[in-house]
Amino acid sequence: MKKATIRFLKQKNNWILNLKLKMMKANYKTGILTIILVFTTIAALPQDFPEWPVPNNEAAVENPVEATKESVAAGKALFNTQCKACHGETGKGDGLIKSASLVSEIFTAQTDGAIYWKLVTGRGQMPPFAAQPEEQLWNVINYIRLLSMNPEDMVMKNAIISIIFDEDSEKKEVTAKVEEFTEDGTKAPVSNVKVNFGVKRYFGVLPISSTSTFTDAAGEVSVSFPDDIIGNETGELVVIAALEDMEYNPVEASAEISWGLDNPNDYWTERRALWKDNDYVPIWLLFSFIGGALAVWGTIGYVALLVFKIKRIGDKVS
Amino acid sequence: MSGSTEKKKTAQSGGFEKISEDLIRPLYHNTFGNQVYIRVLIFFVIVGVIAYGHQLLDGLGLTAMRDYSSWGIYIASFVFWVAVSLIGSLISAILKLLSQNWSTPLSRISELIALGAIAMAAASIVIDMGRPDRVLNIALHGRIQSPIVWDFLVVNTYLVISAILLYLPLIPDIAIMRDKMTGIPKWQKKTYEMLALGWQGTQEQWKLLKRAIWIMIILILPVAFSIHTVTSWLFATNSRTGWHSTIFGPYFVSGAFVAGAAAVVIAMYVFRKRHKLQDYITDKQFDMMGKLMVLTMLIYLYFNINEYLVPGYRWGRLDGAHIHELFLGHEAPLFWTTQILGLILPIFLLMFKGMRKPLPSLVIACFVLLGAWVKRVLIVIPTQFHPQFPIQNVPESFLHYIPTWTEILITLGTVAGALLIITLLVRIFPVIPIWEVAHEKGYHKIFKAEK
Repeated sequence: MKKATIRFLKQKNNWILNLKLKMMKANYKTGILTIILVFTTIAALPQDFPEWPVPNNEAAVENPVEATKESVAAGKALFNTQCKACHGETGKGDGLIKSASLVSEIFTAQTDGAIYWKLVTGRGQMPPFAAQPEEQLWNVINYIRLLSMNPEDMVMKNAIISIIFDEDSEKKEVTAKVEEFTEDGTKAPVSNVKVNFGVKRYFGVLPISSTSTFTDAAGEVSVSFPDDIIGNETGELVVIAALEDMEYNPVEASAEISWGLDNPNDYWTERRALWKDNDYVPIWLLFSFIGGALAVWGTIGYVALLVFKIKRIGDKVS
Repeated sequence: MSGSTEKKKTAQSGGFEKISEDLIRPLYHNTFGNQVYIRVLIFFVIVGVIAYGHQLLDGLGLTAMRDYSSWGIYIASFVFWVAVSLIGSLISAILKLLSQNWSTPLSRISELIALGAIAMAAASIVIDMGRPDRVLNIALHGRIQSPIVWDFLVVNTYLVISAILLYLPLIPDIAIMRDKMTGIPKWQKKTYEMLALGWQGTQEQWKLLKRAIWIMIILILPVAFSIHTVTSWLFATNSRTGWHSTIFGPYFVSGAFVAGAAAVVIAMYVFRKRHKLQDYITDKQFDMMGKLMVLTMLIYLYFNINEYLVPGYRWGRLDGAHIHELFLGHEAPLFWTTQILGLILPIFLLMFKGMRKPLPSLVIACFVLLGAWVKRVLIVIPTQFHPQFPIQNVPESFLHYIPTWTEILITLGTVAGALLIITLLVRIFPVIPIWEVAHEKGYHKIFKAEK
């Protein structure tokens, strides 16, 4: 634990050590101050967790699941429901409780087999996930490996995405088409990238697709539109298709369609009411509040003017 | 003929001299007792500030306020201070508009109490906040629909109006002190010179001042009523048992006049004794204040009966629990002691002339004022233990509210703060309006200017 802390210091806070050495030479009082500074810095650093030894034979187990896009997508879905709360969205150990970092050097130095064994075994506040299907756990490991990759090392390409509604058929179907520009300026379909479908709501996006929505050879992927989604007064709603892939910059398209159920209450959102925010203050309240305040403060201002006049007369007389 | 005019003039100016001397004299005497008193007040204010600093650093967890009782004695004190501050409008405005001349010597006392009380009301709100650094967000991002925003506006407005209404009638008095007081420290002289605004008592100045005072007297009425009505709406707009009452506005306003009148009686007694003002605050003033208290308390009693009889008759699930708690349950001893000693008995006693003499008035007023504070605690806190959903699976500390030392010391600090504001102001300003009393007694020549 101590070693790890010092190593961390050497890497990240090298300037503190350098400063300390310099200052020690110059003045021993500031040297003591610096030592105090260094020690408080060490004390303030997040404490690492005690070592967690893994049996050698377990650590040697190889990951049977290839880190395909499908595997990573499935792993991300499980990560978001089971791991994110404690380990944080980016795996830094900064979730709701203090937890181990999944992107630290100590963590990433482990084999997949060692991580798998820890997932199944659990320790302390980390529960055992033995009940999860084996493949899912490997998927999660594939996803966690991505978290520690430096985003700058990844060369991201640009793609364009468009939404096509299939309105003719009985079944309502949303299709997203992902394309990229080739060197000669023509569009080429992008296959095997994940597209997330959703419907825009007041707060955020309601997902309507599963984890396995990858584009086919034509760069297209379709989902059937659920028939129980509420739109506005006339059933209109906004469908969003977002590209999520390791090789492409995120991009999304949105389109309006009246596939939703009519919402007879939607006019409430456009109406002024007592329970709304300041943009929808009832007119009568706005007028009485501002009118009352202006009347009273205007009168106070007039009295201040009278007092000012009294003073001016006083100055003239004396 | 000219001789008699001359004689009359001398008599007049002589009477005025005596009044101004009598009323200025206390300002020269800083007695030992007064010095000790001021230091004791400062001590309590400092203790309160330290306790508040502690609360600021460690958070509201230091108080006994928890999920259910999220309002404690800070908010009860806030309501109390707002109530007391309303007396400024009752005596300076209502009685003046009704030409109740006996109340003239009491107008400044009531304005001083109003200023000290409303300042501590504003302080109590900030003290109750977990993040007082965000207080300006109420003005910047508050929803106009929220009574908290209205309260923020009216409390600040009333604070300003109280200060102006205290200051305007002081201007001629300050000029008198500027001209007459000798051997006072330089800063005091300078203060008078600055605040007197070059007052010379010219006809024009009187005309302007009278108009300004007149406007403020009328303006303070709607603001005073709205400040305490809005304070009551902080409670009444909730759907909580014990709070969601349509008569909460008038109930609070009538209770406010009771508390304020009691505060004025106490202050009258103290200043009469300390400043030897027996000629100005006479038994007549105590007699009339006693009658005024009976009137306000009868109105308040009427609202009390309404407030408890209707839900008590209806006896809904939560209403019943709330009324039972107050009348027969855990809060019953405090409730009945307050109602009997702080309301019913004082009404009965003050109906007798002998009880409206200074000393009995003082004792009764003390009970009424203390009762007013406890009553606000009883309005604010027990209700919160009867939420719409049953209380289940909560830590033991959520189930009751007993103020912690932090809360008690801070609240005492606000009491000392209000008294300190009043005490320091009467160190340099006369506690009885000189020119108004002179005018009352028909002495001062300046009033020829009046129409």
